[in-house]
Amino acid sequence: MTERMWRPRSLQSSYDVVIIGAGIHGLATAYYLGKRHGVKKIALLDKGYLGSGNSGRNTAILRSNYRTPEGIPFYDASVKLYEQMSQELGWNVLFSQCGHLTLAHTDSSLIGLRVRAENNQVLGVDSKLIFPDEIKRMVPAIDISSRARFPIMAALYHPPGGVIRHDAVVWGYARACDRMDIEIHPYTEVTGIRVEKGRALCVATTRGNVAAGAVLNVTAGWASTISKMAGVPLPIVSHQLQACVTEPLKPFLDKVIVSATLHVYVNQTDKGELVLGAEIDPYQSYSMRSTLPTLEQIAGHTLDLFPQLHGLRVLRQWAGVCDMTPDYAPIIGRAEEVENFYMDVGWGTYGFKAGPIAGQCTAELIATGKTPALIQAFSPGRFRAGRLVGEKAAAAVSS
Amino acid sequence: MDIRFNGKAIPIQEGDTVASALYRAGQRIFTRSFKYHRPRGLLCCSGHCPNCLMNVDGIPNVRTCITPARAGMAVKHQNARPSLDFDYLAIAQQFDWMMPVGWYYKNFTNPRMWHLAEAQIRKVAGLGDPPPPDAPEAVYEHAHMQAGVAVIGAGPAGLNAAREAASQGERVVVVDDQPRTTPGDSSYTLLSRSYCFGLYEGNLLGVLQSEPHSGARERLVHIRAKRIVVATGAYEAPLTFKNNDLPGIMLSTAVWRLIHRHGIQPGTSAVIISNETGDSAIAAELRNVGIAVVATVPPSDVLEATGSKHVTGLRTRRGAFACDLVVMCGHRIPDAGLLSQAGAKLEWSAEAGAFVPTELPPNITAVGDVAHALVRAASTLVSMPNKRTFVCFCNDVTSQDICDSVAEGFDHIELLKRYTTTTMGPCQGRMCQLQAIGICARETGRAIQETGVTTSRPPNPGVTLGALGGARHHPIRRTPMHYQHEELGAVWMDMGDWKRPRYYKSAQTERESILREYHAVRQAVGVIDVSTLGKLSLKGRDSGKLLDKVYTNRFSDLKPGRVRYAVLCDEAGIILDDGTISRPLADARGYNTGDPGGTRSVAPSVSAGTIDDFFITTTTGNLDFVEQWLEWWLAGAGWDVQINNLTSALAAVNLAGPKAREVLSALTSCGLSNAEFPYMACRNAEVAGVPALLMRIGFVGETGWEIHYPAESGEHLWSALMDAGRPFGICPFGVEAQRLLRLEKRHVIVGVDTDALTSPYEAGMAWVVKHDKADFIGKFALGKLESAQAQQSLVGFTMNANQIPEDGAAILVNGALAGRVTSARYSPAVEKAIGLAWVTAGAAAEGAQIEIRVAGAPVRATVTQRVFYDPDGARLRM
Amino acid sequence: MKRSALHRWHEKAGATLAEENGWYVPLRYSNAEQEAGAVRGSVGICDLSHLHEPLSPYARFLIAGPNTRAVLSKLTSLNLDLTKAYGSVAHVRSLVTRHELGFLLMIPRDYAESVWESLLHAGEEFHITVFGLEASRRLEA
Ligand SMILES: Cc1cc2nc3c(=O)[nH]c(=O)nc-3n(C[C@H](O)[C@H](O)[C@H](O)COP(=O)(O)OP(=O)(O)OC[C@H]3O[C@@H](n4cnc5c(N)ncnc54)[C@H](O)[C@@H]3O)c2cc1C
Ligand code: FES
Repeated sequence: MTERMWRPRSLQSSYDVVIIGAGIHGLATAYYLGKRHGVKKIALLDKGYLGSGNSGRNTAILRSNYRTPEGIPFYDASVKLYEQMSQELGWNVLFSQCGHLTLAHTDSSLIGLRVRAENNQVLGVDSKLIFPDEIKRMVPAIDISSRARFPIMAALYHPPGGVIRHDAVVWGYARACDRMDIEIHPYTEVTGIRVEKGRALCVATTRGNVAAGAVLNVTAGWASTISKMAGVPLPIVSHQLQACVTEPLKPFLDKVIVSATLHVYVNQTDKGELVLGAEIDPYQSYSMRSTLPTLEQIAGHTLDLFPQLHGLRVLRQWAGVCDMTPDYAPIIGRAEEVENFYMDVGWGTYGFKAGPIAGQCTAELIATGKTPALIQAFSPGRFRAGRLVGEKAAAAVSS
Repeated sequence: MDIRFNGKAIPIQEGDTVASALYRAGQRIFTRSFKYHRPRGLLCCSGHCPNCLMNVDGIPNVRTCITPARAGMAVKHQNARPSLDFDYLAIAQQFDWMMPVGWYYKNFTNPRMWHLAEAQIRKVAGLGDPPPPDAPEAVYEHAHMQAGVAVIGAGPAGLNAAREAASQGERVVVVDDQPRTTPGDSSYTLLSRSYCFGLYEGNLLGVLQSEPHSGARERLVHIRAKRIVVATGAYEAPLTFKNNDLPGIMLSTAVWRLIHRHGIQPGTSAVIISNETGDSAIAAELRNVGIAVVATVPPSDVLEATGSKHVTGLRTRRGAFACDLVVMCGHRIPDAGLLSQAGAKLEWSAEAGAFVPTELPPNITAVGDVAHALVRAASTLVSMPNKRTFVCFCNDVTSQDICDSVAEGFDHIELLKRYTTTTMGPCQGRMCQLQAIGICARETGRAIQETGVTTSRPPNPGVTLGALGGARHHPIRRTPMHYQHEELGAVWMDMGDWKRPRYYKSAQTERESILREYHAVRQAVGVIDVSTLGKLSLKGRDSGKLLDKVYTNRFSDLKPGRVRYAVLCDEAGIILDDGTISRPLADARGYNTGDPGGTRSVAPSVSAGTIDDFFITTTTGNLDFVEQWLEWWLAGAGWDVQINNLTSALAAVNLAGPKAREVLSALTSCGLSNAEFPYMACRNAEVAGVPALLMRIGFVGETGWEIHYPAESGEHLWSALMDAGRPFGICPFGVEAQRLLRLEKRHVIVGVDTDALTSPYEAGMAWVVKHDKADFIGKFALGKLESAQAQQSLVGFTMNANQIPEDGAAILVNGALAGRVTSARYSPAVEKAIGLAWVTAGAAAEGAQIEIRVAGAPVRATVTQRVFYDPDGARLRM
Repeated sequence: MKRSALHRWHEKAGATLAEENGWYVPLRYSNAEQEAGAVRGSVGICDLSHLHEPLSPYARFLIAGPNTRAVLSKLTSLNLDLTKAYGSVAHVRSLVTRHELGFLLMIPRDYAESVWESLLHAGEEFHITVFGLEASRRLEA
């Protein structure tokens, strides 16, 4: 008899924790609340199907070769959780630690990569600069010649980086949550939050109201709309990020390739398709309708790296709405204005890789009231205090 | 006339596609399937299905059924070893029990096992072979059109709509994927062999045209239309029964095309599967070409097809029939993808047996089969779970897989799609979407309407990267003296679109060449092309006001004839750009006069200008930003300021070194003595007969002038300087030497030594912020930053020993990460490596010892805030 | 003498250069009559940068002949029915205005050579020609 991954449930009138958004951040938080802290009366509410937000739209690149002393250990911890995830969940999330190359085509990006390599090495993350000959050895398909308009000068090579099957992560967590009787409610849109005397009491949804001991906002592109419902301001703007996928070819590329100068990233899945991503579109938008100019740019820049692929066809193009913060670092913590309103947002273009550790830390914060050291730098109060995180240079290329 | 198929000559006829030629020559297996490597033959002959993909002239995954055959084409099969007829991997079918839907999620949960398994999976994954890195490139191009009405599809409905619109005087473009010729009444433009793959925001259509002319493989036409008529018709999709994928089982449209387009008799004895009772049209077609029609059966009666590499018969509830051709009169599916991309809803119509578009957005209409779905349901959508009933041909997903997935909880069509990968193959769901929906609806007990369709995403059909990329000419920006640099042996570096000389190759090594340039500047004279600097002129009464508002220091009090360093911050007090701002001299009436003594020349930035004029330089990369930033803050202020971007209009050079004055004085009558032209002054004067704005500034730390002058005289003035400088040993210098020279002066380069978090305080430039100004951008934040304890500071350092760290090297204090090097070079003046670095507050004190990583090992260095070369600036004022 | 941004290109293409108002100008590349004929029959481009207001950031090209629009529409999405349009031509922000013989392109000077090359490339299918001032005068006559 086939076992169901998760069961349909009826919505109850009250929960200890109501999590708004059933993407990876919501699911991971629920999972750790249940698993580590024994909180079970949890509802995950999502307006769409499971993984319908960015968790099902991203290019699923995982890495920890960030730039700052705040970012590096945080992402490193996340990659380590990913490494154990298949075993822990009893469900293969297809994590392929194939190695990750960030290319530099200009002097300034080369220096930026060196800073990352250096900081990574000091903090124990495996990454180093390599130069064209070695790049070519690792990725024989790539064009390192000088005929390119912006020839490749170097790359940051990060062996533990790779790609994962994003849906598998979502489903694996959802199954594990379901096994702990944590309730997942797709098609349940949050329409309002009742706040009294600095506490969020009740969450209004399209399927009725639910009372909540604590409310967590993990809605990525919609983060500011939800936080507005609770009267909590967020310095977040939404931008579109697009990606596309090609027809399958026999595998020839087993590294993730990212180029900041060309604003493009490329990897080949186990099915043989190339997944190609871009930089965020420059203007603010909540639209999920993809655009032709961005697709053309992705294609052109992919050909700058792999000119021989000109005859390969793109099959699908899609967009997600990304929640961007001023310093390209997330906002994790409790709202200063509403005592039981938590957030784990601002994940922009890079938050899939952070899901497990952010979930683990957020769960700890909700369950114990204490902010774990790993997320202290990401507090909602940092903007007022003027303590921004300098991740822009490392996070700027989406992924 | 032949093509070559796996090396063998295959004759071709007029009008042949690659697939028709092969079929005529007896080829029946065209591909092997994705997962089970089952033999697959021609199915749709319309470019809709995945069954005929081959490698043509080195390009993988080509739809051979719509690719015109041309003599000499090299065609190869793909995804089968050793041959299409015998493929080792067909063994996979025997192990299908090991590979139920989602099997890879449920196995290899041990990371090491997965690592091994993945390597094996990657050996067999994929379809076509990737072209080798040195594969020939092909020509692709873009084009743009504006149309009153764009009609997609040149069938009867589309052409009617086109003629009607044309008769109303509209400019009409018709797009069709078939090779058609415009009929006599060309009241409209026809793009034939062109398909529309996307309908984007603002009625933008992406259209892919094959071989627009002999010199190009494909052209992507962007059509902006006021109105769009979608007349894409309907296409046929296969029926589901056991072994429905065997070669010899074809859609009726495929059979029709083989017969009529290519004069091919597709079989000898056929069974027709059709809901039509009585003698169907297709039966008559078959008989006409001499094919025996063994039986016509309704879809609901079909049990299974038999055969291993080709169909040999059909078992039905009405008995078993031997045949070598099964003709499926399949589902007719309105080709509504473009409409749903545009936002139309698709609604299930039970009587049509199809999803039909409703709620069309404004200015988009649908005509013909795509709209009316006068099509009739081919069959009920029900097919029972079976491991040999193929729903998704592209990805080998069976009806069994779909049923199993629903039972596992993937009961929403979007989840089902992602879990089974149905609809995610090369045909983009054309062949399988409706069937998958049907099974999902039955298994969940929901209505088909409620089950719904998956989101339609462009591009559909797919488009090549080449066509999307277009001609791919990356623009190059050249300064007016570009070719003179080239003649001087410039080694180029890219700065945005600009090309700048990194250095001039004058010695064996890069290092020696750069040192030569360095010494020329320090000991004699050097000249560098700085035309890439952003150059803006500000005119109008309120220019000073605007500058006071936007820059941190004050400019309204800048005296005519003077230059001042300028820093621009954002609201958070972060440095965005720096440069110089000059205020040229003016006469008694307030008009610029040119050089102080004379009336001769009018300098470029200030022609016919007044005392209110300013001339701004920005860094090379930030010009656009600064210009927009100024415009932004000007907008709505009601101030009298005109901003003029002169970057491309002016060339600029910097002449520097102890002999600079002597060189320049040979070319200008402008007084250059310290009295007449002091440090940080500016003058308008003619140099070598060219009107110019001269500024006496000293980025590299020697007496020198920055000269801005009209670009069309770029080569002339450069040559004049080189000639006049020759007796003094003048040497052109590039960006590398400049960076070393300025580093010895401890001058900061915004964007190199600063980053997206740097404030003037941390950068040691507190003096550029004038808090006593009424208001300026960043004032509030800078006020707070001034009193706050800086978390990090930009400091200078000198290496204690002989190593040279690299830009970006980490700094350690007590073994802990404490900062980074932004620029480091060997300094001939100090005779050690020096540099600039960010360090945490604790390590910023004068004389503090830090460690810098050089080749991975920590090496000692000493922090200093002092300038490394000529700290008093005496040489600037010589 | 003043030089257009394409000065070196003209030299390399073997142009006969002459002086006009203090500028070097390309008179012809081969034969003025042939150049004019090629333009009349298809399409050609000509460097008119010397017709230049003081301190202009632009190079000026004339593109003329029956295939002018076909060539331009490969490089720009600008609506060529307008008499004046500003936007990207061969990825460079430029001004396009109608001209009695075709269109006048105002290209930022530092990008001039790059756009010129793009025009030649886009025009290959129409055997685009370069033409000098002599041919342009013939065409105007
Ligand atoms: C194209 C693209 C590529 C990317 N590539 C990468 C990458 O390579 N690596 C990486 O690490 N990150 C990547 N990202 C970013 C990453 O996808 C996101 O940061 C991450 O998935 C965020 O997860 P989440 O759980 O916070 O949000 P989501 O997965 O977006 O989940 C939020 C959920 O909230 C729901 N919701 C919203 N409003 C409401 C409401 N009112 N009521 C109920 N529910 C609501 C939404 O339906 C959604 O399901 C990419 C993103 C995009 C778009
Ligand atoms: S048959 Fe092509 S995607 Fe399913």
